[in-house]
Amino acid sequence: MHQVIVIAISEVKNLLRERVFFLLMGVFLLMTIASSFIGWSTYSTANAVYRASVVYLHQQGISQIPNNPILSFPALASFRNVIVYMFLIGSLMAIVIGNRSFIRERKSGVLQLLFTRPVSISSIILGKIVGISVVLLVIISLTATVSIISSFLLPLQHLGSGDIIRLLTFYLYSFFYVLLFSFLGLLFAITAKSESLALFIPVCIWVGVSFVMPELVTGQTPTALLNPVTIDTLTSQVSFFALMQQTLAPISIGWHYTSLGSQLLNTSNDSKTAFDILLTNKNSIVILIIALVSSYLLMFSQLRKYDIINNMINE
Amino acid sequence: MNNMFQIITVAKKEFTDTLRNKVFLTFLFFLLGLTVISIYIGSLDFQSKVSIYQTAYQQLIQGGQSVKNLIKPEFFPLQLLRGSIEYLEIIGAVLAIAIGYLSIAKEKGNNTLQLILTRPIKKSHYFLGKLFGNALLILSVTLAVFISIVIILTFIGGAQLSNIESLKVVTSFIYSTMYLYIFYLLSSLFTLLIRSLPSALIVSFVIWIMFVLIVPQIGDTMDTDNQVPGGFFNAIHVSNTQSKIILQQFTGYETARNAIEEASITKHYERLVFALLGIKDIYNNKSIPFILQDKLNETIWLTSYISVLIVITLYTFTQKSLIWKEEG
Repeated sequence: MHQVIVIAISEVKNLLRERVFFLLMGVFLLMTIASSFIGWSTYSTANAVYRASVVYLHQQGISQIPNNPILSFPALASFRNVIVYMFLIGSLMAIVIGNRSFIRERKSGVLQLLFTRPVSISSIILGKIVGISVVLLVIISLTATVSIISSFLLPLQHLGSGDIIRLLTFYLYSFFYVLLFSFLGLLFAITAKSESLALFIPVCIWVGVSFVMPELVTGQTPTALLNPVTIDTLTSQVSFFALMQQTLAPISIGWHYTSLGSQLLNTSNDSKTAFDILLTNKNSIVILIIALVSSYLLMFSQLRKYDIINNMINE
Repeated sequence: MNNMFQIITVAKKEFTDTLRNKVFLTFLFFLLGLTVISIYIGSLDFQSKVSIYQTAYQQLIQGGQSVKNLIKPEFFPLQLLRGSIEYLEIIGAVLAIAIGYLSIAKEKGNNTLQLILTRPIKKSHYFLGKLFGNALLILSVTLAVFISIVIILTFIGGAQLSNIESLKVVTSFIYSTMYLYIFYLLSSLFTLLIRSLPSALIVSFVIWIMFVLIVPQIGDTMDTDNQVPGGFFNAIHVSNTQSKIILQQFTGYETARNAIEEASITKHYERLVFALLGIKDIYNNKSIPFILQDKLNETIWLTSYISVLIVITLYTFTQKSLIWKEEG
């Protein structure tokens, strides 16, 4: 246990020395703050556009005007852009964190040194995972804090206690989702023959998980998947998509994330509790756990096979 | 003459080196695979629209109602390319980043540049050779994608492209090559400027994610009409023409939203190619000169990005110290 803690502390310290880590974290935090502002600005403008439309339609002699659809939006929906930023920047940041964690040690020779000490492989991996988890948890807690504070500062609809629990549940789920990508970064940093491959392969998988699989399941084009309003709309009129929903949807982690994320951030305006939503989406949680455990086991087996003599990393 | 020969030799070396690279090949096959999948999904989506139309038609006829307002979906083969173009925007850009990165990283990693420059070749000629070789490589990538597109549309989709449609595909191919070249130049520049190779690659990815995915997404999210599934104006029974009149009162907001979108080179490329291929409905069946005239602004943006980046990258390459040291 002591070894795990020592490796975890060293992991955190090393990450804090990396400039690219701060760059990614800065972009991520900035976008989270921006998302609250964008949500507020769009919400206020849409309301003003509705009022202007009412005046215009009255001038045209039209008296029957539907109610403002924006007013039926739940307060949490203002945060729906966070799903996209977590999905994009959060995952990329996690890949980079996982990648740097192991590549650094392969290049500097620290890994060879570690293997000469009485440290088990599981301690090395666990130490790294704990270190990475702490860093990711701190970043995600910061974004959650920013979201909650901004909901009180900006004149949005105020969040109730149920909303805050749903928001926090979303961030907790997001933490485990991005953790999976850090595992991928770590795994390929162990196995890849070059530094570029160690980054390109997980990015390729990330694109597959984030765009290709959801497109096959929903039939939506890649950029349409980035619109939180349509994120959970399914095209099931064609038997192909019905088949894909049956076969691919259960393992499409990206689709599970956006789907459960949208429900937690209440894009469909319901009155469910966070627990109810998790209970009805237990498959999404199970698939994420399976993916995390499988990645851990793969890392463990790859590190056991790791050849310290013939595994010099190059470009 | 000798200078030209040197440039061509470097270009050929650059071209063949990258063709043998596993990262490049992996991304190329990934992109080609996605092109096929996206056209297939596009055709299924069209089938779905036809099936919805037929069901609605039958229901209205059976109910004795008029079918006058029912719009029959029309088949425009080039509209099936939406997914392929979006994958070129996303994966194509990653591929171009890989080409730019690998082109400089191999010299930094192996210290080969120092050796080459002991030979009678100017730095600028060497770099022009790289630029030229990689331009050909990117041209080959987009050519492979567009040939796949035409083959799938013609032989699998059974679509007969007219001469004008074929010309539109060729014009889109040229603009796609220009778009990917911008990402190649960006990635080369960062790999030249940043001492640590992994950091250069990560910075390139951050720029990619911002330009390609985040900035256009912000613009889309800020669009009032995108706030409600099916459209905000549609939900309050306001027509497209009426919405334009109403939005004239919100020019400040719309200008800011447009400025955010204009910050992304991807959006310029997308606007241009979506217009050419008729994916944006209002440009469907319009002539190429009309579309290019209407989208001249986007062409200017793409050309300006390429010109400025070539100048900056060339300047950086020729001015930078020859002794590159990579951080440990």
